[in-house]
Amino acid sequence: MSEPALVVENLRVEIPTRRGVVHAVRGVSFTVQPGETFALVGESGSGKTMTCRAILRLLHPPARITGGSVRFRGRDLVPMPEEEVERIRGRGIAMVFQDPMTALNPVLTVEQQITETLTNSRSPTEQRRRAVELLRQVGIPDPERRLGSYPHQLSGGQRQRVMLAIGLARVPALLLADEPTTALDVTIQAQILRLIVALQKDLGMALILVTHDLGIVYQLVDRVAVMYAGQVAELAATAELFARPRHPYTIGLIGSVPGLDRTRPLMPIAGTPPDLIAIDQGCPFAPRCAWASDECRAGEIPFVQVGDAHWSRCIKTDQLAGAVGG
Amino acid sequence: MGQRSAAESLLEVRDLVKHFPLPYGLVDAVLRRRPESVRAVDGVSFNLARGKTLGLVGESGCGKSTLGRCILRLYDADHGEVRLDGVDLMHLDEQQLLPYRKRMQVVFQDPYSSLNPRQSVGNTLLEVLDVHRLGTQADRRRRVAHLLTQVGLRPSDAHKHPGEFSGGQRQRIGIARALAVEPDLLIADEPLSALDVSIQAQILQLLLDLRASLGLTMIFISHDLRVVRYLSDEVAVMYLGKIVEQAPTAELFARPQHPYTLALLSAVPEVGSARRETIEIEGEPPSAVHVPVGCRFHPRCPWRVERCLHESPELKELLPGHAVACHVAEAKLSLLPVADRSG
Repeated sequence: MSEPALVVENLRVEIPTRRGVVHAVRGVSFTVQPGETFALVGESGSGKTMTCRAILRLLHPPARITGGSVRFRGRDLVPMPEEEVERIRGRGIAMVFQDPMTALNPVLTVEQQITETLTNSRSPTEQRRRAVELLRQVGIPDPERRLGSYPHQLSGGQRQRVMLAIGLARVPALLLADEPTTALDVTIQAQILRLIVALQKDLGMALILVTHDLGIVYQLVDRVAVMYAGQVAELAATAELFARPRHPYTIGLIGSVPGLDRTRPLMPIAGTPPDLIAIDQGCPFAPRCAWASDECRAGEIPFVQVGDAHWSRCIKTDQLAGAVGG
Repeated sequence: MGQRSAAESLLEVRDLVKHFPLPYGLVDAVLRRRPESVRAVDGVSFNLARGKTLGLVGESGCGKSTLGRCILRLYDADHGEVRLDGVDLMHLDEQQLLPYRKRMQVVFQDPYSSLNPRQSVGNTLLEVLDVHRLGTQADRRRRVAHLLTQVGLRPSDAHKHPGEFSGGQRQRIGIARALAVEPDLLIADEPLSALDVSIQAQILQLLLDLRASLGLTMIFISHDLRVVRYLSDEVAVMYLGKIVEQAPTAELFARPQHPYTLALLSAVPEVGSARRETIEIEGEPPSAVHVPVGCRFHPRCPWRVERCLHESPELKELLPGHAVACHVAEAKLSLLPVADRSG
């Protein structure tokens, strides 16, 4: 097997606040292969966005990485000096954010923002040509005319395409897309997601897609890490995850999505996610879990293999077989 | 669709129009520009039977929220009728309207901005009861406690302020507020969109339970087809200010006719679905200021023919109980033997 595109091992992120330290990411590990479509799935507070930002060393202070490693092309990004990380950002690893209106610079034109990421070794004409090519690649009609537009002159879908163009400008080996379509209408969402996955396959890029939408995961993604309270609760290939979910949170999440079959009752998960400041020992999902016992609340729950390339952070997995799946 | 008798329909909406004029100043006048408006709702009609839930579905800018607000008279429509139990609400003044306002209530999308942060939750609920002068002070306090329990919170939560609750809990309070006056009609405008998936499921379940126990008639406005399908008896699909297709839920999802509906359904990523007939539409929705001539969907429509460029299709019942506004769909269906057209 060729070298993985990214190896995250035991990553920890903390955010000191007045109320106390928020343990946002608590020992997250996963591997992404070249060309793979990988998803980080979770709800607010799961740590998925913090994980992404930590990978690219884009945490806003006072948030900081307090442990673990992020290996890209064999080198650990965590201890790397800022200038070196800068060379990798946009080039080896690129990121597309959720809200293009705040991620794009409002006072720069589309052309300026794309060419900003291109090396100075290209002549201005070449840079322009490349910018047009990129806009065409991301499906923006009339790309030459669009070069001079400012973000506020574009629709949400178009801005997201421009973000994609910026992200792809240096043909990165890995693209991080944090909820890239959440703010968009359903039909535009479908267009953008199809585009991202098509470009990914064309360019042989690995993709980490951060999303809360299980439908998107089911349709588009190869492998999934389900995150809860700063940890990976379950990790598996998509088909395997939906066919044989092996963590109570995953089961709960799948049961929360209104399905095709209207006669299947919704099974909402009771309660709310834990406070990441006062996080206790033991399984963070225990208070909401139908299978929880004292053992679950006692100590660290190990991440165990429960199937072919399928891992779960739960000590009750053998009791879950036969629970409702996707 | 005209089948229902007036007695069965709780709500009748006829030819409702709401345009928002764009600013027009001296320079525009001098340059002889035509005054323009956002044609948010551009002629909408439907009936809603007592006890039923209508899902109003469409993407941003389709007019579904504006339609909801016009029905509630939070906006004043430009023309058309809104009849609650046969009474046209459009021309009532505030005094006359008050008793009807009690019968229609709304739950908004954003649980963070729809509750007064400076007021305790209990007082927010009391306020509603005070305005409509329901019962004695003691009755009202009891009702507040009861409401909080009904939505899965505790009576002791009445003393807290909105900031002390999570998004999901605030949405429960919003629902409690809407139900305080025991309305006949509840309009829920994207009540789940701001919530996490597992909380959405909780609130959805709550709405289902309350609807059953209170016999509510509901309009559920959402862009999320998956949720709409789960909750609604009938679904109306809106595009650029008009209803383009309307049918009982199972029928709409089994036999969608309008190309926009097909595109919406294709676009929804589902867990466990086999590939259904997909239709890809390109481009972006045009603005509601410059509504295309002819069928307003024609610039994006993969089926369009010459007629679509000039003639706006009417919303017509093309299958039993199933209305569609599309020339091509109509032509297709008219070619089928009559027997194949029924459900």
